[in-house]
Amino acid sequence: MALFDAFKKVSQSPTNPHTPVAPRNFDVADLYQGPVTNNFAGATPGSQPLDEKLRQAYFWIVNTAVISPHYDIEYNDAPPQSYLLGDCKSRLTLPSAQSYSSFILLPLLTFATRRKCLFIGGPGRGKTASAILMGVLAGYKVRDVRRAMQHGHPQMTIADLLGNPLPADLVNAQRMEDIRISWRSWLGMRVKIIDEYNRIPTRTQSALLTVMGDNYAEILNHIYECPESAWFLTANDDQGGGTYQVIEALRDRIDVIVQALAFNPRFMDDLLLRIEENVRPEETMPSAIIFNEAEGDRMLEEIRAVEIVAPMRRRIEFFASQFEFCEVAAEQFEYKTKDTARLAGAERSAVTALETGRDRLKDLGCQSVNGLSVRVLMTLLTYAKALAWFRGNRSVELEDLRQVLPFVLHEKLLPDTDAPFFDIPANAMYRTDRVGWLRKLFDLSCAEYDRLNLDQDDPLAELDLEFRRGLDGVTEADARGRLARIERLIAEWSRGRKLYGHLYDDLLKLKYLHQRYTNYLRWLKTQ
Amino acid sequence: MISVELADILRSNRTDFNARFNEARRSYSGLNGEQFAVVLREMVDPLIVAVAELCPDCVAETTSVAYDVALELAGQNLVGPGGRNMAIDEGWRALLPSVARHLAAEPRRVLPAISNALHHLATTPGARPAEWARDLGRLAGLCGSADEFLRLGQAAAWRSGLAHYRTAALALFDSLPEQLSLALLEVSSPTSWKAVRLLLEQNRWYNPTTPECDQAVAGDQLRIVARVGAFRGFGGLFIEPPRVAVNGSSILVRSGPECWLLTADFFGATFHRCDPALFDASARQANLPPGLKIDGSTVRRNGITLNLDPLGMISSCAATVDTLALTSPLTHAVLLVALT
Repeated sequence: MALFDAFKKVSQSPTNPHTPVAPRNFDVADLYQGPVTNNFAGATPGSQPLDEKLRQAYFWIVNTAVISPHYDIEYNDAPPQSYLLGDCKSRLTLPSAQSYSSFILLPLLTFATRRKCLFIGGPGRGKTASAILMGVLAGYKVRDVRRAMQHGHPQMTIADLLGNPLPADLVNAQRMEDIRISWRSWLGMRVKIIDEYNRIPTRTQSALLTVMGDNYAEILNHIYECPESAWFLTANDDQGGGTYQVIEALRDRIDVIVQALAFNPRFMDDLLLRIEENVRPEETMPSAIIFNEAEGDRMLEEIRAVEIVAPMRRRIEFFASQFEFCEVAAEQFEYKTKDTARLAGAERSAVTALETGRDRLKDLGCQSVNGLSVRVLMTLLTYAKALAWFRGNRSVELEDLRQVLPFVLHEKLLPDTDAPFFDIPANAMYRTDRVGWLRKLFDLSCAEYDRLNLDQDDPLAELDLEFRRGLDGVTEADARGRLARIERLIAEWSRGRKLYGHLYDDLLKLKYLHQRYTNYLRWLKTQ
Repeated sequence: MISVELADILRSNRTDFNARFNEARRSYSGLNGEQFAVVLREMVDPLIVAVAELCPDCVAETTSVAYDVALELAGQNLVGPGGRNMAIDEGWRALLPSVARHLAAEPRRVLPAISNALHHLATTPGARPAEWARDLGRLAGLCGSADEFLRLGQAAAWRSGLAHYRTAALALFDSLPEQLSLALLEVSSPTSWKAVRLLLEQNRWYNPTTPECDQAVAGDQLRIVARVGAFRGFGGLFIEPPRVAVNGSSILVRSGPECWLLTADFFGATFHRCDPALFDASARQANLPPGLKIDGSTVRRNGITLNLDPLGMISSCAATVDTLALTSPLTHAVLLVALT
C-alpha cells in the first residue's frame, strides 16, 4: 500500500486552533509529526483528545468521503462579509470562523452522544452512505455495517426486525422459557441503521419503538437488552410520503433531523476521481479516526461534563416558556396550555379566535401549535453540550445553542402557519424553511430577553437562589418575609400586564415557591 | 543521472509510481514533473545508493517509502527547486545516507519522522536543523536500533534549540545508553550521565561542554545568557518592543496585541503563542524575587551589579528562579540574565 493516499489523509491537528489560555505542556513526540504522513509518530493511542479526534473524523468525512460543500452551521469571530443577491435579496454570508456542514456534523454529534438522527432528503443524496460511515467510525467492518442495516419495506415483520424462535424449540418446547430465540445481530451493535424507516409496517414500527425507546427487544417473553447505541434512520420524505405513516411515538424518539442538501455539480471532478480510482470512501477510512467502545464511553462522559452556565440556561428557559401557554385553554391556571386544548380535541383556529388582548405578532407562542416536551429540552441541552465540546470548548456558548436548536426542534416545534408572523411578506419563506424559522424564533426570543433586561433584573431568580440555599435555619419571620415578597411580586405583575408564556411559567414557579414556604411554616409550628 | 539501483526499482514498478504521482498531483496542483525529477535525483538517489550498499534487499521498500515522502514534500513545495525551505533538502542529503542502516530497517517509520523533524526545526525561529542533522549523523552508528535512533533524534532536537522539549528530552536521555547521552551532549570531562543530569536539572543555563569549575565562577555573577526575539521586519516575531511578565514558572512576552510563552535554556529559546489576557493578568501581579532589584538600567542582586546602559531604561522585567528577562524601548529583543 502506498504511504501517500489521498483518501486516507486525516486533517492535521489542531483542526480548530484556540489561543491557549495557559502555558502548554509540550510533547516531544510532536517533533515527528508534520507535513509528511507519519502513522508511527505522535500521541500514544488513547492520549489524543477525543474532541480533536472527532474533528479529524469530521474533516475526513467532509473533505474525502461525502462531497459536502454546504457550510450551513455558521460561526463568526469577527463581523462576517455578506452579500445580497437576486430579486429576493438573498443573503450570502461568508463566516469569519470555522463553520460546519450540518449533514455531517449532526450525525457525528449523534454518534458521540449515542442518540437518534434522521436523515431526510431525496434519493441518492448520500443519506445511507453517511449512516454507513457512522457505523465504520464505530469500528465495524463495512461489510458488517451493510449487513446489519435494516431496510424498511412494506412486508417487514417483527421477526425480520428482531429475530426468530428456533423452529425445533417451537415444536418441542413445553414452556415459553424453553424456546430459544435467534436474535438479529444488529441489535447488539453500537451503531444501528434503519434505512427508509417510513416504509416499515405500523405493527413492526411498534416493535422498533420498544428497541429505540427502551433499548430492549422482546419476542415470546424473551428479552434482549441492547447496548447503548447511536441510531441513524433515513427517509426520502418525512412528511407522510413513505409507504406507512410513521407512528407519532416513534417520530418523537428521533432526536435530530438533518436534511441532505442538493449536490453541487461544481464538485463533479471529485465524483470523477472516485470512478477513475474505483474508490469507496467508507472502505478507506483511516484507522486514526475510528473510535473504540471505551473511547465512545469517555467521549460521552466528557460531553456530559460540558458546562451550561446560568445565563445561558436562563435563555433556554425563556425560549422554552414561550410556546406551551394558551390563556383561553382552561379556567384553572395550571391547565392554560396548548396541550389542554389539544387533548380536548379543540380546533386550533377556534381556540386562537378566543384570544384577545395580546399582540399576536409579538407573542412568539402564537407562531407554534405546540409546546416543548421534557425530552426535547433534554435533547437540546445534550446536543448543545456536544457541539461546544466538538468545537473544543468546555462551556456552551449562545451560538452553540442557536446553531443546534433548529435540528433538534425540526419536527418537535410545529409552526402555526396561520399566525400573523407568517403573513408578513418578509417572513413568508419561513413557511417552508423550518430551520430558518426556528433560528429566527430563537433570535427573537433572545432579543426579547435582552429587552426585558433579564440578565440584570430578574426578581424571580433572586427568590429562586434564596430558596436553593435551603430551608435549614430559616426562621418563621424570614419565611413570612419571603412569602410576602412572592405575593408582592405577583401583585405587581398582575397590574395591567399582558400574560405571555414566560410570565406564565414564572408565575407557576412563584406559586411553587409560595407553596414550599407555606408548608415549611406549617412544619415550623409543629417544632 | 540517477543510480542504477534507483533506476531499476523505478523501471520495474513504473506504472505504480506513475499512478502515485498522478494521484498526488490531484491533491497538490503545484506538483511539477520536472522538479520532482530533481528531487528524486538529488534527495532520494543518494539515500537509495547508501541503502543498496548495506542491504540490497531493502532497496525496493525504501525506494517506495522515499518516493511517497518525497511526493508529499514536493507537493507542498517544501523541497526541490524553488522549495520553501532548504533545510529539508540539506537534511536529506547530509543525514540520510549516513543513517542508511536504520532507514533500511524501518523506512516507513524513520523517513517520515526525520522529514517532519527537519521541517519542525527549520520552521522554529532560532532552532538549528543543520546541527541536529550533524549530531544524528555523528551518533547514528552508536544506536542499536531504529527506535533508539529516533529517541536520540528527539533528545538531540532539544540540544538543537527546541527548548520547550527540555523536560521530555531529559527523560529521553535516561532511556538512552549512557555513552550515547554523554556523546550527544559533548560533555567535556569524564563523568556519569546521572551527574550531568543533576546539573542540567538544577541549572537551565548549565553548559555541559564547559568544565564545571568555570561555571562555578560564572554562577557568582549576573551574566547575560541570551538575546531572543527580533523585529518582525527583520524576520522576528515582534511588531513593537516587547514587554515581559512572569506567570508561575513561565515567562510571557507581549508585543502589540500578541502574546507568547518564552521557553529558554542554554541550548536555545522558543516562543509559543498564548492568550494576551494571561499576560495582562500576570503583569498585574509581577514581583521580583527578594534581593533582586532593577534601578534604571542596572540590575542588582546581593551586591553584584550588571550595568545595561546601552539598553536605556528597562521597560519591563520578569524573573523565575533561574532567569531574569528584561526589555527596553530601544530594542525588539528580550534580554535573558542567568540567576543560577
